[in-house]
Amino acid sequence: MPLPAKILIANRGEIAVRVIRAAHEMGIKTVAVYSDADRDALHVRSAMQAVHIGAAPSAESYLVTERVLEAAATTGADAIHPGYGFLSENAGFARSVTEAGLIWIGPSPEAIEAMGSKTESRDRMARAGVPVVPGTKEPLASAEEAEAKAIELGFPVMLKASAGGGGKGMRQVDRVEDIASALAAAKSEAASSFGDDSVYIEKRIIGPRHVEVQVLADTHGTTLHLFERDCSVQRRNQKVVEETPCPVLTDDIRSQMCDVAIAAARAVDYVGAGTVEFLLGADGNFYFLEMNTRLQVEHPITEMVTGIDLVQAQIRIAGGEPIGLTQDDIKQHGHAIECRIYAEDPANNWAPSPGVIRGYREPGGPWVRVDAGVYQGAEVSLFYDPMVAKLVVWGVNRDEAIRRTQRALLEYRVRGIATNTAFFRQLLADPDFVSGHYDTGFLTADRMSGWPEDEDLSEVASIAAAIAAFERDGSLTRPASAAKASPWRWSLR
Amino acid sequence: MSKGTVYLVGSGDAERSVTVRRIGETAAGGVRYGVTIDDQPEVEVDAVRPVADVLSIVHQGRSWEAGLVETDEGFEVEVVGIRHELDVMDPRKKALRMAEGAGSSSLKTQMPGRIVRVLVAEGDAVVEGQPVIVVEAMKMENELKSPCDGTVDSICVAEGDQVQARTVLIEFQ
Repeated sequence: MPLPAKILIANRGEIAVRVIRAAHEMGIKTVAVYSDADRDALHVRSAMQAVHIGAAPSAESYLVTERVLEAAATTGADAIHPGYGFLSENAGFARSVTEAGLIWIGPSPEAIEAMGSKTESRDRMARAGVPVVPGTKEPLASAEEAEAKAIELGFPVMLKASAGGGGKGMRQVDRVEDIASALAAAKSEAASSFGDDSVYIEKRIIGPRHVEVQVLADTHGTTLHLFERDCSVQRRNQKVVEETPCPVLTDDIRSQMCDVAIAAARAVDYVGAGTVEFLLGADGNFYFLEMNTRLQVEHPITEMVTGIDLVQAQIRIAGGEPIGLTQDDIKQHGHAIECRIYAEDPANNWAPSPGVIRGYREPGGPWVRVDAGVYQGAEVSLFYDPMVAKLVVWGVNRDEAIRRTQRALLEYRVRGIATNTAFFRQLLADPDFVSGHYDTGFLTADRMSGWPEDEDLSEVASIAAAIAAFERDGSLTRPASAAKASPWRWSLR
Repeated sequence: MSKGTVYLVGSGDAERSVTVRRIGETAAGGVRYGVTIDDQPEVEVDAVRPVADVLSIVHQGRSWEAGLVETDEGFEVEVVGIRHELDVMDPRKKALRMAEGAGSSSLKTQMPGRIVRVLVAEGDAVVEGQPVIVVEAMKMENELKSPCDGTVDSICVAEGDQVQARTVLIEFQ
């Protein structure tokens, strides 16, 4: 396959803009697609061509394979980049793209399928020698079986409802004598919540961190890692802040984890950019969670510390080029942090905050990168993900990266909608974040419950509001006589 | 010396009376305002608008930037990334409005969305903070709560309706 000449980006928002930038730097033409809600979106304005593909709901536009392929045919695009989300992990879509004779900028449909099923990928990884969370997904038949398994796994263990979710039918058990009663309780809760009392057992990971490894593999048999990203700051399983390097990873564990990630990618003949996610326990043991067969939202922090443009690497690999690097060429330099800027209102129970961005100013200065999908005057629509931008900051070390991120957050201005920028300033000042000793339980209800009212700020805001009202009211009354005398006014009579 | 114009800024416990009078202009082209908050002594601030929606204020030697978005009730003011949604009212208008709407209250949407469920019926007694309606926006369901103790006077929307921001959903007596 030759390098693509024209890439259609089957996505919207900041990631579409990100891919367009990479393509333009390589001298590759770009095509955006858009729904009814996105005619004036930044990705449409950034691309060289743009094609309307349907109604605002993504199921009627961004998720419709035929529409996307039609747009590629009409514009003569020879490659498709799926971004993340939408069709990016849809093996059927990947297959259709290839069958249409286009270059698919992503892994093979077979690799997407193998990693797409939680149980299949777990089995496959276990066979490839990749550590998985000890336990089985088989329902427990009796309390005796549960006791035997728990002793084999070592305490503490977790009992989980097979049909479960949301903490229902879930029990942590610390001692063998508690197993029988905990199993009975979990079963009855599972039965009443899900109508299915099946419960399985696995090892409880203490103080878990979410650490993932970026991999890059070409069609010439080279698979490399680009080190880790720590994504433990999560809210409702959504990543909020990511950083690299992981502040608690030792060199020894880092190198083990990166080797395992390469083995995981090789086990499914992976090609392109992918991410292997692990749960890292406080004891230093780590376990495979899943592999994301696409570009990640947080990929820029890896770019910041390695100097490698991951999107351009994806495009080159899809075009059949070798990566052209060895593992030793790839180094972690300094520290990078990403904050995901969401249109949501921390002061109003984190409710989504769609609407028109009336005022917008991005931070700048050294080592500050903003990947945004919005601009002043843009409307943040109800139809799509509320993430409007990513603030990515590099520092020579972690301390500098935190201080620089704080500075950049202070410069970031978004008006007309609410965002979480001020929340990040509080989060990055939290002693547990600063120390680096946090886990996936970091964002407790307490930490999410806002911050004390700042009297100074609220006084300044009141003064500004009163002056603004005064100036408005003055301009309503004062120019009245002038307006009457204007020739324009006369001509209207 | 002119007495200035009085505004009631904010609402409820956080309401302040702010009096503004124009003193003159500074040599650098700013406007000098005398500002009196509640019963504190008057302070002088220097205000300019570098662009239409920004007020740059130099106040007691400190430089502040306030982003302004006019709303139905007043202004949304952003200072160092913190948003303040402030009602700004002429005290006479406020008194008039209080007299008109005495004893009644209404619940409005903060954002556009879809009505998922109405949890009360007309005539129901409610207490402040009781969930009364569920609105979906951005794929998340949000429970809106009664703003007061009272009874449900009228329900202005039906389940399944699409509503705009600041639509009155329920009126209370």
